[in-house]
Amino acid sequence: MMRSYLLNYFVLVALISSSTFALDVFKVITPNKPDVHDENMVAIVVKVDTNVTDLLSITTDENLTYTQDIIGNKEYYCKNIPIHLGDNEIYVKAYQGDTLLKEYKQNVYYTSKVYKQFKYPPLKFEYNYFHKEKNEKECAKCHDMSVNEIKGVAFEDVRKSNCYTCHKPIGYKKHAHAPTVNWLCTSCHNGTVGKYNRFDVNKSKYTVADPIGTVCLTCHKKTKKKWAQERFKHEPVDSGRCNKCHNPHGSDEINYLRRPEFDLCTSCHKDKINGSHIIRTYSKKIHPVRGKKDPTRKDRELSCVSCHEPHASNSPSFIRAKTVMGLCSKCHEK
Amino acid sequence: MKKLVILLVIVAVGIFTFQHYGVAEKLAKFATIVGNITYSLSTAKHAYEDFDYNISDEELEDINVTKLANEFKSSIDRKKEAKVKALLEAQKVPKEIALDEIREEEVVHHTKTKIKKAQLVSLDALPDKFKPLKKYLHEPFKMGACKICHTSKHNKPGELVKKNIVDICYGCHKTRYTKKFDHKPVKDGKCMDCHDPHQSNTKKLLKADSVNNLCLKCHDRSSSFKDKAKKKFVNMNLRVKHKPIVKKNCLECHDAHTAEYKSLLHFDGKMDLCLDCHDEIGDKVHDSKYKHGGVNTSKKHCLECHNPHATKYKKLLQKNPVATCLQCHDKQVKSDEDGGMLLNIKKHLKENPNWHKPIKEPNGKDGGCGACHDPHGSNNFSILRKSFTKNFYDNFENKDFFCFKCHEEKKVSMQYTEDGNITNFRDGDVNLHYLHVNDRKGRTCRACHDVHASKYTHLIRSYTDFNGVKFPLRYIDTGTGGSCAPACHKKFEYDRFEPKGIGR
Repeated sequence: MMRSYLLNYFVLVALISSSTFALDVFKVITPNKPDVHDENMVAIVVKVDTNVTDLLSITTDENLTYTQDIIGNKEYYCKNIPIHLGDNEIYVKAYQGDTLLKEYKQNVYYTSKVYKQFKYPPLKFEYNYFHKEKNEKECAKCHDMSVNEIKGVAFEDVRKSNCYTCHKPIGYKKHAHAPTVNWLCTSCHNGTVGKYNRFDVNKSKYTVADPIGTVCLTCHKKTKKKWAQERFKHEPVDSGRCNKCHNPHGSDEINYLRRPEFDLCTSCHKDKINGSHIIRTYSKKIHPVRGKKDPTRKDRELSCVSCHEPHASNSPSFIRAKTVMGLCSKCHEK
Repeated sequence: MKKLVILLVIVAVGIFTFQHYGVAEKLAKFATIVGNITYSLSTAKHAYEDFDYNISDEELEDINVTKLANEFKSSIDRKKEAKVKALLEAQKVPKEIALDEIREEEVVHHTKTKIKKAQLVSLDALPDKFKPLKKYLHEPFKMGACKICHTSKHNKPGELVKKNIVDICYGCHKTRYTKKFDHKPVKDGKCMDCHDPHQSNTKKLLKADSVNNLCLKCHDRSSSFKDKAKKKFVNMNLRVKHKPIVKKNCLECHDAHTAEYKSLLHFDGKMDLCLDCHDEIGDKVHDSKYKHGGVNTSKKHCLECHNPHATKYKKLLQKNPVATCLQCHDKQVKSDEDGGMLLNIKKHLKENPNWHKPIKEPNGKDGGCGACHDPHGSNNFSILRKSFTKNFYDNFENKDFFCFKCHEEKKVSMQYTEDGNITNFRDGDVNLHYLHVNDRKGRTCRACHDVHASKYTHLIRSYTDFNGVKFPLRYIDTGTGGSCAPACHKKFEYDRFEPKGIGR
């Protein structure tokens, strides 16, 4: 049953693609398959037949539209566009004057590790790595595809980085990780694979090992040392999946968290979402778990991490004191 | 019946071994068993027969146990006593000093018989060229015993008794110069190069008015004396002179005649001789936690940096206080501290035009590398004179950091610069040093400043090292303020007069 469905699907795709190739108005180099993306952007690369086309437009299902005039003999056009979580539809259209010559539709999926509903993309979506020899050859007509990063020395002017040219939107976050904004990409994207992505070996030059922990802890040595002495470890810490909660490129939240602290914790610990897990006091009120000022941390809001250590601790339940009384007395001094 | 049982047992054992072991093992086991049986049978008998335990009562009476014990004890006591005696004696008797170590020469006294033979000449009858008489007179000359050295032939006045004058000198001055190194005139037997055989105004009958002048007759580069000492020149015309030479004389360190150490020194001239007086330095050199390879492991030790006689520069340094250090630190040198490679300071200074003041003004009051580093050794890392930190992050509180020896601590400890003169690194009156150093995570001076030299003004680093990666600070000076875009934060601007609102 499943097989026949897939077969039909492939035949259909093949038919469509063959019919579009016959037109030969433009060819979308990427995304040419239903891709999965880890970041909120997708790069669109189009090769255009300059004799026919004057105008190229890209539209998303959120009605964001980008238009591009065809300049002289320039054949290749690239654009980074933002996408939303889940399934995105992207339309590429070519015009001659006002007449629509060709329309191309592609679905891409933006997955997230902390939103359960977007964690597992539907079956048709796959990780397709762009940095293959075939693709890079086409890019090399305009771009320098080599790595011009000197190991251990950051760029004085980051615009000189070859990675920056195409991937620059990754750096524009409120809080950004130093290697990202200094474009020391290959310090993490070193082409290695780990236990969980071992089938991706040799698929791209720039894969990152999954679990990512070993990569992170090569720089964060102090934390490594500290955690090694602790008795209890949070599961993602223990399995080395730092990127489950942190976005290694950067984020609009502090500490590069993927969501605000309370939302992030409760995306897994769903039973704590109503905030009633702390004992009721005499005043019949529940102890607040969010939305108030945190007395222990300056300029921060109260959240799970006010009381719990999110990484590793010697105390049970990861509390930030040796005993529960000690924890309470941190704020309730008298 | 018994035999039957034994047979059965043997058969059973046989069957057991047959079933459980391979052929080779069986043979080996069999051989060992047989061997064991034959051995025990052959040896056991003799062992019991040959030894007789029985001692007769008469024999027992003969042995006087108490006497034996006393004898044994006394012999031990005697040995002990002898040892104690030897120890006591060793303490009483002073250690003999070898004759060679006594440097004063024997004063020669002439016996009466010798004087008689000598046919004395009275002082008044001496030739005119010896008059007026000088302060110190050679004893034979004083006695008028000219004939000890000279012949009495009238046609050849002043002819010597012996052909070589050394033989005459050594005839009375029996101290022979037999140590490892000899002064060249001593070696050549030219006593007269330094000493006058008759009289002189200086002690030891020297041919000059002082010891130093006598030495410099040959050892001065500008000297016109014909027997100039080749290569072993000393230029005493320079500004800074070693004190013992000025206050006393060359003989404080050197021996005029012979010595066990090179350059006729009393001790090894590279280090031991210096530390004989400079004992404080000696403690530093030998006992400090972090040692300078330049003194401890180099070839020339003290003389790598210092000239023992005179130089143009303070502390008797060979070159100016920075250039002296750059003699070795013009390449990556291996550190004695942790085995790592030290910075090539010469290259670093050449590449970065803005230098720290002690390097810029080496001849000033607190000039030279020695302003911060103690070249003889220190208990602080990098042989610093005072404590500092190696870390990127560190707490400044209650730490007597080295930088504050010259720079005011207010620069980092005050949150607002009320009078504005504390630091130029401020946004309006918000002290940005304070923000970096005292707020939450304390960053040390070295996070942003390169203490030696930098491309930028205010010694701001071009790269800051964080976890082994060099991140550029991207500092821009605008005259009234500036901006930084390091790895630590995005680009922030500050201005002293039109505040941009940092840290508020």
